[in-house]
Amino acid sequence: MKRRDLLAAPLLAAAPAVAQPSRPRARIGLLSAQRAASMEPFMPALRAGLAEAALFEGRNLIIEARFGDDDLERVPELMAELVRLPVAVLLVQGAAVPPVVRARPPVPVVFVLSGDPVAAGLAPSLARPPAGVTGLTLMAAELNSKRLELLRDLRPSLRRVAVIANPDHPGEALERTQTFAMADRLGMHVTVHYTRSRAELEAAFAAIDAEAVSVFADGFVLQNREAIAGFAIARRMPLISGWRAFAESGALISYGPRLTETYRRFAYFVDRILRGTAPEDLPIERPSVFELVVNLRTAAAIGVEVPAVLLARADRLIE
Amino acid sequence: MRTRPAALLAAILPAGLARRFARALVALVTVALVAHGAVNMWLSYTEATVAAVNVQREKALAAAERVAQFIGEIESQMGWTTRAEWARVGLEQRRYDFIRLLRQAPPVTELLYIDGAGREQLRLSRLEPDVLGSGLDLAQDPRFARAVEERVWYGPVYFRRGSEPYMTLSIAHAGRNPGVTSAGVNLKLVWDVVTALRVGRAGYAYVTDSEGRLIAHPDMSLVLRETDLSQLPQVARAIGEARTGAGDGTPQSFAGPDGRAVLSAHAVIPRLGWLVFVELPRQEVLDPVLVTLTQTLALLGFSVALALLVGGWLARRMVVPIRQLQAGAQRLGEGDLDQRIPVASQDEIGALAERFNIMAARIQDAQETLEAKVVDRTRELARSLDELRATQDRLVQTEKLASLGQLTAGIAHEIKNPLNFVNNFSTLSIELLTELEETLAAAGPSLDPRLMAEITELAGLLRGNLAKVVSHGRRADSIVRNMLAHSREGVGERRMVDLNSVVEEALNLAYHGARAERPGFNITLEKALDPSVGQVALYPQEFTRVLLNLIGNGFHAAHRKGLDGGADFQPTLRIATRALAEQVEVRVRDNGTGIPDAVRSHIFEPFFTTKPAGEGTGLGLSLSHDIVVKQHGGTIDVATRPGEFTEFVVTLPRDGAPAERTA
Repeated sequence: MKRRDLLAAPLLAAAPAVAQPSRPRARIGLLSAQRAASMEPFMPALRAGLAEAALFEGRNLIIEARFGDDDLERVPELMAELVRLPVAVLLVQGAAVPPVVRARPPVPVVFVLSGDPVAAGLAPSLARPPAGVTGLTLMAAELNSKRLELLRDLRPSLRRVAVIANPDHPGEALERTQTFAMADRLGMHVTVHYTRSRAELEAAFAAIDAEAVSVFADGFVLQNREAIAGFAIARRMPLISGWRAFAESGALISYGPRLTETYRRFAYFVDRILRGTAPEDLPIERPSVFELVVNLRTAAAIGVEVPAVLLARADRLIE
Repeated sequence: MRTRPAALLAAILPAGLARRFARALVALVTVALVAHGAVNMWLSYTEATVAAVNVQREKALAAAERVAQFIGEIESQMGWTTRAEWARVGLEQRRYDFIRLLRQAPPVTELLYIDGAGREQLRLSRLEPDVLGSGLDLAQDPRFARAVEERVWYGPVYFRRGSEPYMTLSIAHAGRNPGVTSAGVNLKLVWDVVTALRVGRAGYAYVTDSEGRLIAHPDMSLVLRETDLSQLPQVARAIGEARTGAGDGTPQSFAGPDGRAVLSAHAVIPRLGWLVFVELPRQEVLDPVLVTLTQTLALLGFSVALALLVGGWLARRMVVPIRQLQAGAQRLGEGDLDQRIPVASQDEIGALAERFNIMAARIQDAQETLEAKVVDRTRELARSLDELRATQDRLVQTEKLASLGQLTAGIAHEIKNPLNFVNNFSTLSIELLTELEETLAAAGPSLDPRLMAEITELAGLLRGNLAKVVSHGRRADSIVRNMLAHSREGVGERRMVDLNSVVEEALNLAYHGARAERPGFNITLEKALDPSVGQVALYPQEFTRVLLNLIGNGFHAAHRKGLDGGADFQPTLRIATRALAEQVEVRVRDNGTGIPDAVRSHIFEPFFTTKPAGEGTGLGLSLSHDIVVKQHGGTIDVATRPGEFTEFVVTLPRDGAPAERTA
């Protein structure tokens, strides 16, 4: 996939570059409450999307990235810093979204939120976002119940599931509620382990006593995905999460929106706003393509036989 | 500003023919090009519009086809779950099949299996947990009822959470008492179909449902906001046409969703009843027309300029020779006949110029001949006039002199008799005095000697007086005779005489006479006698008188100047003869005092003299004139310059033409 991205990126970059030879120089801000590493998996897709709009970092685009390094308290300060620069568009990701959107900064805001912004009270409706704000949702909450179902399909006898979640993550409560509801329907027992920091994560690892692990996707767990995957493999537990990066890092299953599409769309919003469209005229978009990735290497490692019903559903198998 | 181009035009194109010519050419070119351009543009516009219309209609149909295909694919993928034998497979197998279907058809978000009784048996979703055998009664649900009725049911478009467009696609299974497979289809993915469609440069396509609600548009945001386009005129028209089945979908101009004028075409997607619109900005359709317009205008401008140049050039080519012709003709008209018109062209103008030149040459020739003739005639006339005037003068002079001569002769005649008495009786008185003295001498002794002496003295005085009377009487007599000579016919006979010897005799006679009269007289004589003069018919005696008179006058004048002038003055008299064609000429020239102008016209008049009283009678030249003119039929003229010279010129006819007769 990475090789394909490398091949595709110059092609995608070249075609619009010919069509739109010059665009005024623009500076955009990128704000995340996590560490830089949490954004790394998505930067190629974002850059490719920007290149499609003839925006090239270092040529006519400056991306001012600010990271809270897992400290949500720093978000307002970082936002103010970016606003002062100033930036033409402020991209906000993950846990930083609610404080930024609620602060209503004087620059257009585009967010990527794993949860539902309407449910989180950030927008009255998907079609009519509030003034100066628009963005994308990854529908993480809705999909968590689906993930439990996938775990059940994997092993119908599964009863005890541990959840690793970051309580700072917006919509975490919603995800949790949905997960519990589904667990009840499926007759499962769910324990939630909050991990804001590496130490809490280590503590969670020690505390977890379950047959499978579901990780509520957010920047923090993404940063530590390899450690989590390693822990699950070591404990021979199926591990499921929302983002493909987990499966690629050793999680057994990932099921969720295709984030490359989402981040490409993220770039589209930037382009439209730089061209003068008001953010509130751009409805909040939900992903339309979902993918199921199964890591067969992990399956072999933990001695799990992946049933046909899951293989049939899988969009990609990692062997 | 208006005058500058006008001045320029005037500079390039002189008024008149040239400008008329250029104007005609420009008008012709302009009319032709404007007509051509207009036709071309009209054709181009029609063509572009028709082409765009056709392309648009095809694009719309193609787009409709593609959207139909999009749905058709989902339909066919669902197909294998609708076979009759599928009803017999187990629930887990069905679920497995549904999972495969979901994987194959990304737009399908959820799948339902409803059994023949209208009970929901299976519900699979990408987002929701699967539901197996819920038994929910959907018998009245259109997903079931309509599908069973129509086999395939395309549900209305609806917007999930007011944003994403969805539709339901239900397919009834084969066989008796069929079940139904129903799918929720996410229509966001039609976006791929619509964006893939290329319409010109800036054209686009969009899809609405039969109510005019936007399903797919290149700008996804419009779709996600559940945009209702039924108020757009083209959408309203399309909906109307779709309902009534009328209309042919001919593209028309409308304002597009973004307000720009567009050429809009639409097609109805069969079965679904959706409408696909393909719109191209009107600007783009007009582009080729504008290109043609620009080209036509450029061509027009270029051609008009070219026509001006060519017209100007042609006109100049034509007008310059005409101008030359005109200027040449004008100079010819003003009389400059040396002028030739330099026209080199070989055309009619050249021929015309050639004719002009020939004409000018002829006029010039004629004029030159005429002038020569006039000069000749004038000269002749002038000469005739001179001759006439000379003759007239001479005639007048002659008549005057003749009448004076007659008068003189008349007077002489009347004086002659008394004078004869005076002369005769004085002579007689002298004889009588001689007798008295003889008588006295006889009676001498008888008389008182003193008385005697006194008488003798008185007688002597008387004799003296009488001698003076006789002497002056004789002089008077000679004057009277001279006067009478005016009325006299030629004396003697006219005969051929050697003129030169006559001249020499006369000179000798005059010189010695003068010497005798004035002992100190001295003068240089020059003779230039032309031997070819020969014999001339003369009255020798009379002509000798003329010569004597002229020579005498010359001597007198030279001598008198000699008396007045300095010692180094040498009085000179030159006499010359010359033979002319029919005449002979005698010239007598002295270097004496000359004749003053005031005197000159009177010198041939009788009794006119410049000599002191007693020395001349005033008849010499008068008589000479008579002799030369009347007797010999010749002429006598004088040339003189006071203080320098006097020259008398006498010409005589050689053969002795009859002398003029006077009454």
